Amino acid sequence: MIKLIKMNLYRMTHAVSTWVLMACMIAMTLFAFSMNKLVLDDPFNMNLSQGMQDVPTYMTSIDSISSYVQVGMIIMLVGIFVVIFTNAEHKCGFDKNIVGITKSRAKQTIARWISSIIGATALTVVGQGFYIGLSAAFMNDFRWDSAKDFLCVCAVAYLGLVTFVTLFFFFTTLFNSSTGGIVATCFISTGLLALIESLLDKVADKVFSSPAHVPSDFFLDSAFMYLDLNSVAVKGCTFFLILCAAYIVLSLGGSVLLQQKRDIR
Amino acid sequence: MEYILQAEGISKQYGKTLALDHVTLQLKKGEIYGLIGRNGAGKTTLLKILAGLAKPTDGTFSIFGEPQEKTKILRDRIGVLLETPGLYPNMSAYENMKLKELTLGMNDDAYVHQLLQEVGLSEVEKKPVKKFSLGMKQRLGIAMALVGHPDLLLLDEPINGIDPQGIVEIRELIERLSHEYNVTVIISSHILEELSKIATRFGILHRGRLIDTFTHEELMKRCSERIEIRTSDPVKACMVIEKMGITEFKIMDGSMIQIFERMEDSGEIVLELAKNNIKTLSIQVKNEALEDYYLSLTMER
Repeated sequence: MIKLIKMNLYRMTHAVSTWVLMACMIAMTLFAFSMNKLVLDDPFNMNLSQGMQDVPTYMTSIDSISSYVQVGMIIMLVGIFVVIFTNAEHKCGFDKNIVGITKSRAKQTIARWISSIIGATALTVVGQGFYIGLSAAFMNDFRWDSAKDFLCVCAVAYLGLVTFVTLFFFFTTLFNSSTGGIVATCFISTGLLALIESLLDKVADKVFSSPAHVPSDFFLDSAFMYLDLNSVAVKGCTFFLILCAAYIVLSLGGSVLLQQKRDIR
Repeated sequence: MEYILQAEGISKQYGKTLALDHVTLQLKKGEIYGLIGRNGAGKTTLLKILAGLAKPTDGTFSIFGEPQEKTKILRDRIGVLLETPGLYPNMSAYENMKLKELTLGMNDDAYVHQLLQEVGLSEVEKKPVKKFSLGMKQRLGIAMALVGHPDLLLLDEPINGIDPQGIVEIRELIERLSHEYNVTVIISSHILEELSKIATRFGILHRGRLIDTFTHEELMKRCSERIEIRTSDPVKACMVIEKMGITEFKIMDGSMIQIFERMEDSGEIVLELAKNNIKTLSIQVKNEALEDYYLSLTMER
């Protein structure tokens, strides 16, 4: 397993696409920060856009995480990285060289999944670190939360990220093509899936008359985007944690099964 | 006798297409087995199954004496080059080799350089593979198959696109591996002349079935020089030929007589047949190659 992870990491660090995506992540971070700063520096505009609510004019370290990670574009970029990385071996036919000599296809799939997570983590840490750094340096009023709360939010956000990575990993394995994986990634991260979810919610609402849970509660994109990271440290997020665990187990299990059954062409 | 590979009744079905139909073969240690067959005959499918890339629909096989279910623990002893080499186009030859090396848990730069030198790519090892010609990619594919000192090499069309000088080098490399390190090789190729120079045993795959297997010596016998005569009365002609003291001959498909001795006497044979009122329709002195033998065998089916 370790040698497979080493091989995957060597591949990742020597692939041009990794560095291109890293550059995109930094560019996107700069863009996201500029937009956020514009809005926060001009509270009048913000109040208008928020319907004259009482919105704070400062940014906390937890805010910087939620305003960065919970943005669809970042999830999409991470998704594209996962799709390209996961499918590269199959696309160029390199899998013919290594699938046969690997003792277990399950181990091989898990090693690739772990490597995808390492890559996605590196991308997000660079982007998020850069964002927090920019916020601390250039925001007029930037406030650090307590280390405990901040780490707790980081952990939850990271779990969400790992779950997305696993889901994108599964879709790429399922479709066995970059196109299929990227379409699924865009569908989820751009909010197209959310439209369908809201329709399902309306149907469920009519059928079951105000149920405790609507279908969108069980969709990862909605559960993550609407998760209030500011209150996570205080209230907890047990439902979200269980949902993530379920997604990870099912997606990874599905990917392993697919790889074991499939012939290499 | 130590068998490196034993396959029994291997079949593979893709949808309604039967790609392999009960293929049975055995390979001794150190053998170079030439797999012959046209496109779609099932060569690649057979090699993929043996390499663990595809699962057979039916049949069993053992590698290094271990049954199919246990072969996965020995698969790092198999080197594979299937169809076009699977390589990362944006990475260099060295980086591609390094990936294979790391997969096997090795990390020896000198070994990678040595293998690249063996296949004649040491001078371009830093160049991205996308800038390689097909022949260079094939050479790199062979080098990748050799990583980890495999005991069994499965090479599917390894000399595709390689220049004549390169073909000789690859042939010498495979022969050296077989002779010096007792590596067993299964090699498929369309270039039958090359295959006949290197393989010690041959198998002909046709429409998924292994229709014939023979050793190099048997091939030499089957493809030896001969006179082929077509006459108006083959049975009577045989009696005349026998009377001339010729014993090494046979009738093929009812009308053609093949004679395997006294090649210089073809004129005398025609004369003798004419004396016995047998009309000679055609006469040829032939020296059949593996290609002709393969075609004669597959055209009949």
